[in-house]
Amino acid sequence: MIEPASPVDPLPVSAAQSSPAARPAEKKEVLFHGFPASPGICRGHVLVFGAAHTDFNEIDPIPIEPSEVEDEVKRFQTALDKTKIEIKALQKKMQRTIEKRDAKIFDAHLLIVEDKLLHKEVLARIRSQLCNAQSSFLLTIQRYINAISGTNDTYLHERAGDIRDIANRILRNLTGDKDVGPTLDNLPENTVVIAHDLTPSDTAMLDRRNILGFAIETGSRTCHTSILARSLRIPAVVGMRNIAGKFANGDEVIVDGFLGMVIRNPSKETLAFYKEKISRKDELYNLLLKDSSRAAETTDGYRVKLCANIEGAEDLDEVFRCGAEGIGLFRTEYLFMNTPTAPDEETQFRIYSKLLRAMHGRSVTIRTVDLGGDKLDFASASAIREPNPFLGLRAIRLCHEKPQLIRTQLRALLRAGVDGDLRIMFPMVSSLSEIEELISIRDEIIEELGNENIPFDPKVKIGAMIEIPSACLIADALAAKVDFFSIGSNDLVQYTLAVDRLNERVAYLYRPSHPAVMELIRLTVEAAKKHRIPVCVCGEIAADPRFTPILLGLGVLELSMSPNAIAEVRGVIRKTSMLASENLAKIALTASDPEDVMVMAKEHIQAVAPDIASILG
Amino acid sequence: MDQKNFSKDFVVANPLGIHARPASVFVQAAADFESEITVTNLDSGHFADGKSVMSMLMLAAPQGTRIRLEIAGPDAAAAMEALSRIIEGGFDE
Repeated sequence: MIEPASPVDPLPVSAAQSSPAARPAEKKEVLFHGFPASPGICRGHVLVFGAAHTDFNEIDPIPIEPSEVEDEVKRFQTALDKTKIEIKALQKKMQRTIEKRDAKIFDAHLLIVEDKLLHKEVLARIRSQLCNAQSSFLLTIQRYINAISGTNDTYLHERAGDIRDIANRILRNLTGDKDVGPTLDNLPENTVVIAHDLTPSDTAMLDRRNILGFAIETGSRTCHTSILARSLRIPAVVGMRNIAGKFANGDEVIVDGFLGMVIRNPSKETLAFYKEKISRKDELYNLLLKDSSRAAETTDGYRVKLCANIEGAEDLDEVFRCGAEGIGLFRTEYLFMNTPTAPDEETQFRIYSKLLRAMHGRSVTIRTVDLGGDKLDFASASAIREPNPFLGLRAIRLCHEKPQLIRTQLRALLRAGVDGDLRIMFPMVSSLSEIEELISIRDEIIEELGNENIPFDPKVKIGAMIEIPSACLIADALAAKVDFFSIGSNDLVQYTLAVDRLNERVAYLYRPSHPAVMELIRLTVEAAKKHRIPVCVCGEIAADPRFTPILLGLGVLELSMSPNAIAEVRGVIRKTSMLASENLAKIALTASDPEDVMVMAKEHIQAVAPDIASILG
Repeated sequence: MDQKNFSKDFVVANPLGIHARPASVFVQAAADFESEITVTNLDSGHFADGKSVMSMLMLAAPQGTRIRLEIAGPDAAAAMEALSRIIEGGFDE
């Protein structure tokens, strides 16, 4: 398809170790290949995360008068204090999105800021060499970075990025200059991040307003960087061997997430070619958005309800813009993380009630807290580190050990129910007795609230999240007890295939199109139909237009996804017939190779909606 | 205090080597002890103060580096036990 101007140059490993300065000065177009991890195309400027580079290389000591020494010392201390506050705030913000183990990087950042040796050396430079705070700090940090970069180890080079990140943060506080140097949470506009690898804490920190794309040396389609890129809907290319050393900050690049390519210093011709491609994509997206008030209806008249997954009320603008018909999944985890005590009933009530009122009668499905015991900070004193948390004590299973947790949340939810169309969803249901127990807890709460004369809605619908294979297999019994089902496909795939998709070594086995997964969805839908309850799918496959016809064909008429995926999914539905969908589903149920199913699904989109197919991966 | 009470050699086992996070796990644990803690990179000869994260980072020790842990002071035995566990456990990574 694309014929970029210059051939690929598979540089030997040794060349990767050379510094950016050793690179030829002329701005020749160079093409690098990797694996496409998230579709899309972007053009931006490089930020190399983690490589040894020029920021701290040429530093001139700036002299001061002896009378200024104490002021400079104070300035340095103030900058450190400010930096500490910033890191603590960041740490607090991040704890809800990343694993505890990964959040430890902020402990490391704090230790660097508090490091005695660093202080001693900087203060010595200020006091005895009469340098100002900024140059004293830079000269000191340069020594550290050079020592670490002196090794030939890619990993250590990479992790020097942590020090640079923290150094830039201190420097920013020292000079008050916002543009002093980028930190991951404060990127320049139109940034393409190039790195050896990004840890979950790196990606969680990323300044999402200014990131256009990623290219990383490690990784696979299922690594956290790829997953994040897809959820942000920005292009990403992974598995690019030895590229980090070949880019310098500010280099102009194009990232092609369809073909898995990164082009450094694109030529005029390449730019023109991509410019057209990018504008076609934007055009299509805007065109699809124009349809946001139209019904998601198949060509033969089947209506599909499209809902949004959100984590907080701040996402509501986007929900309305894309024309979602409701909230299919409101995650409540963040309310419970990183607080010394669980949020009380009043606090929760206010949040739920506000959300329901903002949705003006459109359905809102709120999932009760889906966390492992270890994630609930207020319980951490007694927290037991489980060898296998995904199979451990989490979500509704906590209702024995911490009955107050679920009771308080249910009270707040039932009370908020008067403000709109609320549905309560219970995650991690694996057996009938669990649902029966939750229903009896609900009934007790209804009686309690009645006795206390507090307004509430006793008719709030309750549903089971279907994400464990056992729940699919007893869906008939479950459907008799609840008002709706919601299929959490990400966990369902993981639990069915026994694959941790973040484990790169087995990630290739993570196949949502596996016939076993398809069959479990079919069983669930069948049970729901029999008992006349609605069934929604709310995992990543609900947001993937390739899966849309298959799910429709399996009988799923409600999909919930990140708001920015709704336009494309609606576009596909409006071009597809139920007849064709049912045929696709039939093939998916019996296919011997999950990959064949994806090829077939893509061919279908290509046939009915070639414009949308052109912007898929 | 110059005399080292305890000394033990290790090989850095975690794939990423001693970068910021493992260094901080080590330093946080080291801070609980009164003893003086020194870590030497036996491949390069550089040595570091086990209670300073910056100093530890300067060891520049990727996976496979041989390091020596030396501890001197009143609680040296307990410190050796705790810190050995951390190094042998791959710094909790």
